Amino acid sequence: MQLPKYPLASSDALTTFEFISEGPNGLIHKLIQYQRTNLKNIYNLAFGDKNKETGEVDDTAISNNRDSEKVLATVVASVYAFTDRYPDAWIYATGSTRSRTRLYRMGITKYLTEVKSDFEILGEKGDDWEIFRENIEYDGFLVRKKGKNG
Amino acid sequence: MKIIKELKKRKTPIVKIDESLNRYDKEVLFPEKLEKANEMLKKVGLPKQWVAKSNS
Repeated sequence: MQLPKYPLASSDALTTFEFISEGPNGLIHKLIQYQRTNLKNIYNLAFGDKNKETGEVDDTAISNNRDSEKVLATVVASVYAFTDRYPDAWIYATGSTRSRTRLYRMGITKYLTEVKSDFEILGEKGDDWEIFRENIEYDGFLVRKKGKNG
Repeated sequence: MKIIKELKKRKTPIVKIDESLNRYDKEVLFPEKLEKANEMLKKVGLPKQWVAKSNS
């Protein structure tokens, strides 16, 4: 992606990533985790702020660092890195609140043209899945790498 | 310069491995979100469009 994003650090397994958001509220450490769900090869994408002193994380913190686009672009970059290592993985993402989910949707929409050439994206609507469309309110998203699946 | 251009074009980012992050792999950092995802999978299930394709 050509969009500005933060440098990423990761665990050996490429399932936990860290980056540092920079903005008017200072340096905020963010963690992204790809969590195994109860179903094989399906991972939940979760991310939030890390307290540098305690190491604890908070996915409800509103950091207001005026860099949400750069943060989202960095999360998308981590999806590329993760699926490069785990090409069969399906990734589920939803926000901790409706407005966060809306923010993710806007992020996906923004990068849709670019991301669509590499990934398939479904939106969770009601109790079903549909191919992601712009301007539709979704409860969550499911992403997988194009290739042998698609 | 060519290398810098190539690096900028890369979609898969260069990721620095930081072993101090390995400890997080052993714990669930956002348990509520994982629970929510598992509930969704139980309730909504897997997308038919993908499951059918994967099995074909």
